[in-house]
Formats: sequence, structure tokens, C-alpha cells
Amino acid sequence: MSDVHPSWPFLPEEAGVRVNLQEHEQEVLENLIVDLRQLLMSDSHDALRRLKPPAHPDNEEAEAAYRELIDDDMLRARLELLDIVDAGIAGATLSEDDVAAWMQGLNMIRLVLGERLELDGADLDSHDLPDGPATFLYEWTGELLEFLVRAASATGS
Amino acid sequence: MTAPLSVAEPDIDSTEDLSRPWKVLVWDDPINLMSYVAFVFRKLFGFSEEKAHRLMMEVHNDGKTVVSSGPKEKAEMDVFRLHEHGLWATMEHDS
Repeated sequence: MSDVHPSWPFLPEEAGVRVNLQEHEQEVLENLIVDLRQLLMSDSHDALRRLKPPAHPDNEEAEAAYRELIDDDMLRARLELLDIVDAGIAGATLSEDDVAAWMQGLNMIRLVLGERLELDGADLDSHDLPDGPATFLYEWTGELLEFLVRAASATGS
Repeated sequence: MTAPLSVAEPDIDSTEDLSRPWKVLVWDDPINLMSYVAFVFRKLFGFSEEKAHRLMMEVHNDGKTVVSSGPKEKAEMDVFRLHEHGLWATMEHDS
């Protein structure tokens, strides 16, 4: 990653990773976060299916105990990391922890969009995604995440 | 001499051996980016870049891999953190 282009959405810097989103991109990401926060609060089971994989797929009782143990903490952690993303959208320099929160946030958005698009392995292998805003957002957030992983690796975080 | 207390039998499967460790598996979800999965492995388990990449490729090619093992509490914590990062993790008794 020796050639860093100034138009990239995340720029590796000495102090961390700088968020470098254009204004319209900031707005789109803000809206995605508002949507995701509402989904998380409403605990909509279908939309969040990919965010809540079972720990014990073959044992209903153990699974219920696991959910009981972690659900509140998980929701709190997820809302907190969305706050971190929200706070940095306009162009913050992200610490190592912030970078991790951003990755998790972007990944959550992708998992929800992917679920909405009903994507499975075959769809993704054939790159045969339906045209439309959800596909556009799914691919865009994937690019952002890829850039962020690269930028984070370049800063050594 | 006091009357014997009635003791409830612990509610565990009699075939279950509590001393057996648990293992944590990560399964392939085609939505998760390969670079992100490798990054999460490095971050959560401190794996080298090479090991994280190898395990990620196992998930991608074989559909799953084992990322950790240990007592139930540790396995549960690892699963929680993997779920927190959006990865599809499960835990089961080590055979």
C-alpha cells in the first residue's frame, strides 16, 4: 500500500486511519446507521438473522441459555460501536479501537443488506445480484470495508 | 442426625463429560469479506498474518475451521466476540 490515493475513503496516517468520505457518502452512511439502529432496537428477527447466528445450532436449550446470557450485552455493544462510527463520519482520525468499531459497523450493515437481498453463496459466486439501491449499497459498503482493512493493515493496527 | 436433604440431580446429560474441552468453529458466510475475516482472527486471537490467512482460507474452501478450544466459559466468550464481529461461530464439545 505504498501508493495511497487522496480520494480513497480511508487514509492510513501515522496517528491512525483518517476517514475521508465525500459529503454525499457521509449522508448515505449516516442514513444506513439510523436504519440499522432502529432494526437493532426493534429486534426484528428476520432482518437480523445473519447478525444472530446460533452458538448451539443442535441444542435448543443451550442456545436459549446462550441468548439469555449475551443478548443484552450484544445489543449494547452494537449500539455503542454505531455511536463510534457516527461520531467519525465527518472525517475523524480513528484509533485502533475506532477502526475495529467501524469494521464491525460496516460489516453489520452488509449482513443486513445481504439478508434483505436474500443472498446465498451461489448468487455471490455468479455476481448475479439484482439491480437496485440495496445491491448498490451492499457493494459500496463492501468496498468501504475492504479499503478500511487495507488502511488498518498499512498503519499496523 | 439430620434428615437427608433432597438434592436435585444436576440437569446434565449423563453422557456429557464436563472435563472435555469445547471447541469454537467459524463457518462460511459468503457475505463476509475474506480480508475482514482474516483481520478479525488476528485481532481476537492474536494469530500471525499467515495463520489468520490460512484459517480464513479453510473457512472459505472447507466451509468451517476451528479457531480455539478450552473450557466452556472461554469458548462462550470467544463465540460472543466472533458474533459481535458478525462472524458465524458455534461451539461444541471437542471429540
